[in-house]
Amino acid sequence: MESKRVSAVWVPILVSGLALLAGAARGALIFDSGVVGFTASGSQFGRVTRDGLPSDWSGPKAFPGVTGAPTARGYELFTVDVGAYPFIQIILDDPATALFAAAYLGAYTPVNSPPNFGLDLNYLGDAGLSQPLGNPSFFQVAVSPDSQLLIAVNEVTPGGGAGQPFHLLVEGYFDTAYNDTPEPATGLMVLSGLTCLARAARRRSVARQRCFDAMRSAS
Amino acid sequence: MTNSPARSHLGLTGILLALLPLSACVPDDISPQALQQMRELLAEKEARTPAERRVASSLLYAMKALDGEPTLPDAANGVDTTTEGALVDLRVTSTQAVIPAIAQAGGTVLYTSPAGQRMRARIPLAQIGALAEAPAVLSIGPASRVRVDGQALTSASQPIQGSLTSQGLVSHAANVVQSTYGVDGSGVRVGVLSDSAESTSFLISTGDLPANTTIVQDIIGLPGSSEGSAMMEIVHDLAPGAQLFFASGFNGPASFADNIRTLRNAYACDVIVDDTEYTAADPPFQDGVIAQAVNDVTASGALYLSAAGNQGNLTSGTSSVWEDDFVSAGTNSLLPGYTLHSFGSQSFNRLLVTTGEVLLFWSDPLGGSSNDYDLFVLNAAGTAVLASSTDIQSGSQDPVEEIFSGSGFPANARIVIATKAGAAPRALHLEAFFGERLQIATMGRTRGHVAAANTIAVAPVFWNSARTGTRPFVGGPANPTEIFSSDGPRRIFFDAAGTAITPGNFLFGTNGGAVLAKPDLAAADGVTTRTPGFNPYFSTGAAAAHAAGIAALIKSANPSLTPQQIRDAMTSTALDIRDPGIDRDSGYGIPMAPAAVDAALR
Repeated sequence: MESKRVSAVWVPILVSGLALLAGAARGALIFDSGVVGFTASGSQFGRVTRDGLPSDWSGPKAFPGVTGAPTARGYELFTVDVGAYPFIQIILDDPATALFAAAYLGAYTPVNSPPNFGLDLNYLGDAGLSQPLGNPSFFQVAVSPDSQLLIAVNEVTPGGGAGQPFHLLVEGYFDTAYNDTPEPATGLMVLSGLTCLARAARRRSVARQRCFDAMRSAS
Repeated sequence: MTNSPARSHLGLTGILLALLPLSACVPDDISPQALQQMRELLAEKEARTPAERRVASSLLYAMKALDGEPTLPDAANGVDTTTEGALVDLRVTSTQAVIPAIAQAGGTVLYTSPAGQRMRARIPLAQIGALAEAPAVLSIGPASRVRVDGQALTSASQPIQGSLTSQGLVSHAANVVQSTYGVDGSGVRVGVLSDSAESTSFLISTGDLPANTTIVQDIIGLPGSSEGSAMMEIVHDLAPGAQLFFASGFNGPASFADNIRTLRNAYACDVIVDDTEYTAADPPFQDGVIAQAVNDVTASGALYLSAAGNQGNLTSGTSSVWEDDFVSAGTNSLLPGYTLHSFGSQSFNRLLVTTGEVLLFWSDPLGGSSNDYDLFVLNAAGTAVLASSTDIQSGSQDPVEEIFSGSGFPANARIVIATKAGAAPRALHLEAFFGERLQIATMGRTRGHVAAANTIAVAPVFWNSARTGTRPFVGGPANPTEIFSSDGPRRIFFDAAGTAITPGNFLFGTNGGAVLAKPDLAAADGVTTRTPGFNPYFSTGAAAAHAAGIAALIKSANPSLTPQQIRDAMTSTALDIRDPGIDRDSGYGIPMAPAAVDAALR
């Protein structure tokens, strides 16, 4: 009976671990908007300056400033929970070059007040460029696991984004070499962690059984 | 004839034209004023002394401008001149014999290649005529211009902390080879040639380059973009075990050629890759000095790759080249002794955007051209000559004319080609060197050592061209080449020694020479690198670096492979893209690391 109970403890842990690994192995895509038409869900005042510098995983990007303020522009907001991934790559395919994306941590709060009109608050990064050479733009940000990203896709010119088709992809990785499964060392750490959890559960189970046995003996 | 602004001038000059004896076929789209200017330029050419005939016309024009003689507006623009003199390339019979003559002229020798019989020097303009009198001097021309095939979109980089990786690692599934086969390029030496590698120390400190990266020779006397560092980063991402070496390709064509040999002969590089292209030193129809160095190192066991070029292609409507045979547009009494070329319905081509340099090559052997062609750039209306190149080809010169403007020739400027009476029709290659589009364009932009038989020329494919994120390439229409990629094929008419491949047949129209299917492969670009200014890194240079990384993995997996076997492993397993089979935009297609390594291990 004891072994059966132990197996019962192991199974969900192993299944969870394998699911974690298998889920990660399915791909690092953590958000896919599909091709959609731009629909403003709010207004911001001005937009982030395109400074030609994509943010990347080498370190935080300084807020590049605001241009076009205080003229209102529509934005569409996407909320993405990054899960276990600390290295996030954001890709915007915007064939009409009418849109621009920037990433924020936890909240996006544009306001109509200088100097940065709220666009610098919780700012993480942007592509610095629009659709370079006809290709989708992309940028990278690094966050703590389980963070919530807000990705604001805004019009470049006021009213110029309405209905424009775009495609937003968000990818997550465990390291800067695009590993979407933990590195072997990380995997070992995960497995050893799972083993420890299983042993602890087994110890608790054995102790509980002994306790039950003792109680039964006592009764 | 097509409508052209010049035709309106015909009305104004009708009386003049009525007085002139017209020949059977008169090009009417070049104004009499422009033809008169061309005539005067050609008359000056005919009057040159034997020593002046050894000097490029652009230098002669600059010397005339210095002397205050009337000349064209752009005459002095085509020469890199400082207070120390003009930067020139010399072809000589003996470098040792010319060194004292340069010193006597007050010049400075910058590079000598005794074996190649080439020199680079700065010479005071006023002394070039005297230097040309030296018996050992065969020719003096402006320093051959050079371009890297990088397309950095950014001008700086943010503060740096950790390392970055090219998305091409995944695009080519090189990460699979690293993890599954345990192959990482160990034991392989990769040589990179580009403009410069100033960022190398910095990239070593961030872990983006290995500590044993060796700079054999960096750029001399000029700031570079450090594109060589970015290329090395990519090779390191795909083949982190490979040892890296860098040498500049920017210190002149002779130095470039010598550095190719040095990377092989002194540093034992197994794989060598560059992204550099010269003007006259990279001729289309015969291996020049650089391609001959490629021939040497590939014969001794190295694999050589090069960037196909960022100068556009016919498929994408971005071509900057026109190739075809000379066709007479008829003679004109205003231009006696010369015949203009017909581009079909008109006797000129047009630059569609502001353009810095125009080049004309024809199918004569290097150092042995006896068919005298000349090149002119006219204003948009065809009423005035803006610049010309009128070098004399009388049997011992190169078949090339080149015109440069520091400020750029304006959009819609006309390009006119003329031949001297008696010149035989030849295959022509006309191009805007920096990739500006031509009105009448063809395929066949890639040339020189880039398109040589022993070079693997690599076209670019954006890593996320399929728009599915960071995934391996799948081939087919999902992964087209970039719109700026230079296309092939490359037709050559002579072997490296100058012997005709098809004697007596030097034309496209009669299927002369031989056709090389270029480019050979396509690989990722638009990727993330840490080198300042190269994030993202778009270019055929980035693509060539990815292909070099895959080649290093193959060599590492099976060190006994010959360069041809490595090449076969890459081409035979490549994902087909663009037109089915081998095509002029992508060659065999995209090499994928696992399939190529598999093939190498079979």
